[in-house]
Amino acid sequence: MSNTFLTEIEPNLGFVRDLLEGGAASLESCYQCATCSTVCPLSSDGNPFPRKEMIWAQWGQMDKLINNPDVWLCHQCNDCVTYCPRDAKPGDLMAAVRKFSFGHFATPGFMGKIFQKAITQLYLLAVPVIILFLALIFNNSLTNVPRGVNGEIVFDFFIPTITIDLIFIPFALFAVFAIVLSLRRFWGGLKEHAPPAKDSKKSIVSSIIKTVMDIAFHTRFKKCGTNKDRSIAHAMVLWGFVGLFITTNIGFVYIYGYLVGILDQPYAPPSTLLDTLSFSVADANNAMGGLASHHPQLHYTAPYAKLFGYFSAFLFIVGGINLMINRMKTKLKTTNTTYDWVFMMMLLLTGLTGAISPWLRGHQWAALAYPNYFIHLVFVFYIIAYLPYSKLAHMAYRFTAMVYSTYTGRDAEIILSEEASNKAA
Amino acid sequence: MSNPSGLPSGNKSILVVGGGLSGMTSAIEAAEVGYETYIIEKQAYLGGRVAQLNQYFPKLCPPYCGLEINFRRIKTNPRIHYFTLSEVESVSGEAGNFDVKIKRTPRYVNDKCTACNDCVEVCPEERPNDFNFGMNKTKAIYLPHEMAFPMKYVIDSKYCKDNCSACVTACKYDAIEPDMKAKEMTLNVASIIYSTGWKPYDATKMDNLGMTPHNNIISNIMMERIAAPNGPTRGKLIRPTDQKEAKTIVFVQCAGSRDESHLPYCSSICCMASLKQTTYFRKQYPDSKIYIFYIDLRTPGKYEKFLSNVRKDENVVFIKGKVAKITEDPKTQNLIVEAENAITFQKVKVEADLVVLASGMESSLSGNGLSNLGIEANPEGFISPELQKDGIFSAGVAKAPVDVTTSIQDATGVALKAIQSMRRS
Amino acid sequence: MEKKQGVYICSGCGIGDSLDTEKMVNLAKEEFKVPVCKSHSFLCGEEGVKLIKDDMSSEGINTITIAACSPRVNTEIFNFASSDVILERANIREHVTWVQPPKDENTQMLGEDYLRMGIIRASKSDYPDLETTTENKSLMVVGGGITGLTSAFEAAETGYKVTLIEKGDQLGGFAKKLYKQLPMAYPYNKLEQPDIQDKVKQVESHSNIKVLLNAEIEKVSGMPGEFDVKVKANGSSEDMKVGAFVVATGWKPYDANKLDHLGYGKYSNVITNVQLEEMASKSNGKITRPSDGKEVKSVAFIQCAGSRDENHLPYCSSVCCMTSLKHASYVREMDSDAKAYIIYQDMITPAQHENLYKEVQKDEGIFLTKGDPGAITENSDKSITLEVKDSLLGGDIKLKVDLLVLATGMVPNSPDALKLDYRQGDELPTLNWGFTDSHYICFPYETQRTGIYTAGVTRQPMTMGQSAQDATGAALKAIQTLEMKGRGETVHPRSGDSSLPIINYNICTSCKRCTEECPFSALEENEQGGPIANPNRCRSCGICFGACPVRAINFKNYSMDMIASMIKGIEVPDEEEEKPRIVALFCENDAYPALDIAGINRLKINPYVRVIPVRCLGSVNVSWINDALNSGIDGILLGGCRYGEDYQCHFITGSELASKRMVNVKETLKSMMLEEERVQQVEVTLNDYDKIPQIINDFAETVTALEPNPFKGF
Repeated sequence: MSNTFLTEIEPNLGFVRDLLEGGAASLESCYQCATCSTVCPLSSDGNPFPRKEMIWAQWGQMDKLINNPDVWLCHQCNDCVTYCPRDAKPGDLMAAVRKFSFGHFATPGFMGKIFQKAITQLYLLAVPVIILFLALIFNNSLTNVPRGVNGEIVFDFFIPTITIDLIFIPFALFAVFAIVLSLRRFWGGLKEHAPPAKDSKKSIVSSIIKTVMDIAFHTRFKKCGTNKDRSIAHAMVLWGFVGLFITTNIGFVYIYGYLVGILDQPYAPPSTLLDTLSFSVADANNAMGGLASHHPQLHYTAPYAKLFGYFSAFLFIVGGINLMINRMKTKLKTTNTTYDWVFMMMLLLTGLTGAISPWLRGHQWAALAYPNYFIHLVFVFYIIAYLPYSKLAHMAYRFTAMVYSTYTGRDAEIILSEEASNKAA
Repeated sequence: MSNPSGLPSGNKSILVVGGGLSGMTSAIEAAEVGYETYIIEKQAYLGGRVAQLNQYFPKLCPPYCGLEINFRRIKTNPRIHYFTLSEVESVSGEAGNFDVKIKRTPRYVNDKCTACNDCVEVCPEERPNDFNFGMNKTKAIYLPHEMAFPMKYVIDSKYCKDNCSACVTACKYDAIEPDMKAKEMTLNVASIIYSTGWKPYDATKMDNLGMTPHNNIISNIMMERIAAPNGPTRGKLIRPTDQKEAKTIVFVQCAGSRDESHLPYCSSICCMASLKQTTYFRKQYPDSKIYIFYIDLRTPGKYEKFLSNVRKDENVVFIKGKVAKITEDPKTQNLIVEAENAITFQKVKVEADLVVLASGMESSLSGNGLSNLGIEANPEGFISPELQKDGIFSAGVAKAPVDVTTSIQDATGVALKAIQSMRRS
Repeated sequence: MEKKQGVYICSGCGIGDSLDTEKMVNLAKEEFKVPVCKSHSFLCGEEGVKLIKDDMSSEGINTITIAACSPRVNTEIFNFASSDVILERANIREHVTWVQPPKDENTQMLGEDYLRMGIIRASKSDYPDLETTTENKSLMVVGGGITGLTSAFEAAETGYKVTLIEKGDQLGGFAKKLYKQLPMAYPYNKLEQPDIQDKVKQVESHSNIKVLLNAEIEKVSGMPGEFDVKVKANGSSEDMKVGAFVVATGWKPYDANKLDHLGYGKYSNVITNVQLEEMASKSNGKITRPSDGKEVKSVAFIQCAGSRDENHLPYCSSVCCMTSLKHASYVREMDSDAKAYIIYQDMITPAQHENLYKEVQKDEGIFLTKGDPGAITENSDKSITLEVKDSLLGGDIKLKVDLLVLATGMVPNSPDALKLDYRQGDELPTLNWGFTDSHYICFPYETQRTGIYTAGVTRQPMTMGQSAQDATGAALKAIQTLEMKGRGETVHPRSGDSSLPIINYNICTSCKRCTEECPFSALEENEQGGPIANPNRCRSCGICFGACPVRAINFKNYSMDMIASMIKGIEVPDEEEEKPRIVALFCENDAYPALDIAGINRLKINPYVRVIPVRCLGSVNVSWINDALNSGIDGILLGGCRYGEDYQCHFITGSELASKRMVNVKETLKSMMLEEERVQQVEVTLNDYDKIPQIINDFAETVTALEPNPFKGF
């Protein structure tokens, strides 16, 4: 740390209190022994954490903390918590700062504020509920929902897919726009408060590639000592999430691909296992109502796409449940705020409702199938539209911070005792 | 024992539990005022912990010197009676009239012993020498140490193989009684002083510091034995595994103290102890290099002078940061010590020949049920001032973790309190 | 009373296999005409002890020499010494049998010399007469602060009359100024309401305590048990007699005017911790800026302001860290949005005071960091900006605060409160920095002025809790002195000894060496400048007679003649036998026991050395060295405690005085045309037993390298 410039320090008491309430309740117990930085398997020699973060937090140093990439290099392994002699739980502080950052960098700002509190963010469920409900009325699906030619449930008759897309796509685009703006401010902050090491020669591209690989295989996360199994569970959720995203898009492509008639296959009703595991006419029906049946030559495409979808959902749900169980197990070490629970429930419910939806449909349980589908859509909306403000945003911020650290080469070399001692003297 | 008249009447007298320096002090000071005092000591000798110390800080003088004076005061004062290998079983009654049941474990050597050492020459069995923390061996019959008072040998029944009566036959003074039995006796006393002292905190409980019986990580009290002329190495500062001269030494402060998972309080003595032990190495090896990793250097009052003298030595490096990780290099058996320097914001790694853990003082009472002692201890295991009651007092480290001088001050004052309650009753 | 000698030689513990004890029995009979002289194989056994006791009753033996193990062991068994029985021990086990080859000519000679010296010692020793003076068993406590109050109360509670002297017009001392006090009980984390007022009441209402306010001592003379004190109270002087003193004159804050580099005196909003405490207690917790009386929103505390600093107070004042933690909570208590910063070097909250640190830290409005104070400047609005170097936040930082508090330390008040009318000055001797602290780890109350004990911050910086504890100990020691002197015993370290110096004025030349050199200022001077003994100040160390050039001072059981005769008693072989003789005068507390331990370890010692224990090297009189050289001894080795800054001599200056006297010794050697190397002083601690053989052998070699002492056979 450079000792050259003099910074005027004015502790931000409000910020300290936000952190204390935001999950870092035992923050004040820290007496700066620096055990945490040493036992942390992820902290680098050149820029160890979380010792400095602890005193910055005690001193209400908001700028130092939220513009600090190291906060995002922490995966809350909790080795620090295990060995902290004062039970100050540095892991919680890091989480609290991350949470605070979602709010701080959010565009528009008020959304950030709303999402800082578990309860207020639940109110925002109202938005999708109302919009989709209107869609139902508009589609008068409340009074009667027609069936397909074979009498099967057709969600498209319940809420036309096209309507959904028309609702979701704009929100999704805005979300992307919003998060990009946030990340730009974040990146700027990083550059200002954590200037690059002079000798860092990494290119931004290689940094991104390295980071992507790192995230893909959870290379850093796996280094966690005390709390290994969390990295596996988290990887499952991540992969499940990605898988479901892909599946959805295959369906998307398939459906509109059909509309423009680029697909032309002989028709046969789904009979084999293969049929049920693939996007088929049945799905086309479901997505596009009766239209499909007028094209008898239509056959299935995207073989096994649904199998892939089911598999992803499986990973997603099992992983998610594991994460929750893990949180229960480690509740002595990690402070579990309602904020965290709400977030995890959201994801899990989205996955579950999504997974059971085709199944309910298949069994013709209209009374369950329609409501479940509705709820599923609500959650999906919630996840997509609110991504920049919910905890899900950590994907974006962590990615950015990891790229930045690699790019600026913050992972310095090991210091020899001599050097260190000279510094110490 | 010291009173030829056999068992004491105990009428209007003071019982001191613990024959360490503070216990001896209370007993001697009260006796020199003119009162009958009894010392009950668990070990086979008086002197307690200080007998195991090589030198005192800050004067670097040998504790044996003070023990010599106090032993002479005991030998020449008929009012002082002492019982070694004795422990309090139970206490009943009230101030002015306590009945104290005392269990006396057999020494297997009676008062005829002249300390001629013939028994040791013939004894075939060996035992780990607890006086040196197992770093060397004695015979099953042994003299605890050269200044042992009383100067009588003792048999460790755990290691004495039955019906080998080599020593019995070797002893010209039939001083050895293999069939000596445990005895019980009851003392009636007016007041009781607990000076039960301390035990070294078990440093192996800190798994991240990696101390084992077989590596070059030792506790500070073991260090005292290694430095002592009557220690396992006869005062040569060599490391346990390979008898290599220890030239690069790391002192790990607060190894167990100021730690909620170990000893929540500060043990008061460890900083000065490490500074003192630093001088051992600097004196014996002028080319030695010392690293002291600390949280706060606690050298109150006049001790500051000792610290500032050690600071003047450029071969002693102070690093603000607690050691949280120690790993052994299997080839060299050297130790890699890691910490974060909280001032330079960088991790420090030092390769050391020997690591000394400044492990703290744990009350001898912690963990033991005190109910039968007629007094309570606080959750930290100390009989703090407010817990004392009329007629029952605590002195020295039994009251709080303090250094030798403070213990003796306290023991002197408590002697007066004991006299008061005796006169009142 | 007529002396009848008995000599008993033990042949146990290998002595018999190493020495010809029968030959020694005959030696005692023939050389010394000892009437009863016996040898036994187990003298410390029942039978052996009975043997001696029977002789005492049947033969009327009253002067006993036991040649056996070291006098340091079996003391309780050979406990015959009494007001009419003299007992001396000759150490032929640890110092002969265990350190010499058995059945060797030299070993036998060594054993016999020790026997000779033992017999001579016994015959030259006399029964010390118990001098008990009519005692005044009251105490005077000087200083009415927490320490003085406690000493007075505890002594009174033990049944002793106490006079408490306070310079000011009320009791309570600094504690009276406190708004809150540091925790005194587990869990040691809650500030307490000051309870000093209760203590004051206790004292004022105690039937055994007399309180004198506005009182100062004008003069103290006399000695323990009968001090004459002239006290000036409320303008009028009165004389009183007291037995002993506890001095608790306390401390004053370090003069902050010397801290202008921290802005004190320069800026109105820079104050000391003492000023803050007073402000808080006056305004019941309201803390305001001196400049404009506004309530403060932010306060910074600079620790070690003037402490742990070579240019100011080199020591740590022990309480400032806890005090600042306390003060920080004052600030926060007053205003939940106020900020308190503590800039520390090391947070010094030892033992369970750690809990206070832990508790105060929990407050989010208190900001702590290690760091060194840098530039301190005043802003236009009178607020203070301070720089902190090497903070834990990363590098140097700047803080802007309404109020800057300097945690200044404690300075002991001058040690002259007693105005001692003593030969060696009216002050109590101090160690570093004006503290009267004892220099001994094992004996914190050991003092250079018998019967006068100091307690509290007069001794070293400490908290109120520690002061009260210390005060109780000091009270005991004062009481103890009275009781021991009442029994005619001297106090620590020769506690129990009742021998006192006897001055032969017929030969005294009034050279004043003894009165100057007595470490306890026990000797005053008469008109001629000759010494007047104050038996109750005496510690029986013998330094006075070591100093006396004309052998005018002696103890009944430790005399010039005794040691001289023992030296002369050593058999000195002729030159051609090439058996040099060396006398080692060893301090009986360290060097002598060290040699015992060497014996226990069966280390080999040069056989030409004869060890004579002395009470203190300071009691070694140069004339003994002359005697030794005149009687053909080739070299003299003095073994005593370390001296200088970390001196270990329990008579304070003994070994140092010895070293100074070596100068005269060198002159004597010159005048006798002898080499300087023949006399040498070495520092030996009890831990040096492993080095002792080497030390002795080295000296023996230097001596044997020289020509034999030409005075042999004269």
